[in-house]
Amino acid sequence: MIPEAAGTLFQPSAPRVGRVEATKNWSLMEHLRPIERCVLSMSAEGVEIDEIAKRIRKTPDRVESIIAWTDIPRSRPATRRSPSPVESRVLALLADGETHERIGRRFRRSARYIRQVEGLAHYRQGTEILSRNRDGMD
Amino acid sequence: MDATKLMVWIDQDLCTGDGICEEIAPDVFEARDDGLWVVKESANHFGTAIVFDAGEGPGHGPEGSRGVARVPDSQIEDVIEAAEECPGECIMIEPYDAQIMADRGV
Ligand code: SF4
Repeated sequence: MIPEAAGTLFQPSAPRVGRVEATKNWSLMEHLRPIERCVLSMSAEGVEIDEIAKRIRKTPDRVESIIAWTDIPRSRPATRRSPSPVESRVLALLADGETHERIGRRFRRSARYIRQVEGLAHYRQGTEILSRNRDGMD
Repeated sequence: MDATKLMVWIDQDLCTGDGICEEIAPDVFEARDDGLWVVKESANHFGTAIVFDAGEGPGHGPEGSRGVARVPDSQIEDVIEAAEECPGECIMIEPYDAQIMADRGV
């Protein structure tokens, strides 16, 4: 069940949740995604919502949503995906002939950022191929 | 049918069309012909497939804030991840509400 309080936090017009009584106990946050842990711990340290939003490049409303979503019970830990969803989409869009500039606009990021994501995706693919080959030789 | 505690919809006015949501949760998000993404209920979770793309006829439902799809419990993690990664910040997750479901007209 969703905690009753979560229902109000879900409303966009709900008051700012401000500092969360978050947990210094990391084991309680193990099931959360890195961005959720990051937001919760900044909030627990007293960082204001607007400042958290700036640091993680989201709007304050979305930061509040992320905090509210951490209350939703999960049935399993967050999936580790390789390549990441962003990398997969960037590679797919580039393969479709999209430019870094146009992809950047869709991702609300710069073309430079998209080039970095592309480079990282290729690097990751390369290291995975190498490690698979190494495992095969063992 | 899968249990459901949550509902999800997309504010298409804010969707940037990058497709990350479908990359993460293909059972819940789908591309529409105009390059924007919409929510859906898949037959493998709910028995009948409904795409909330404002299309005509059976299997289609309204888009935007009236096009609210139930989230199968097995998809909660992925839907939250999609919403957190969404560059348009336009994936809206809400607690399940039977009245809103009835108002969808599907
Ligand atoms: S992740 Fe968000 S912005 Fe991107 S296609 Fe999906 S709904 Fe649209």
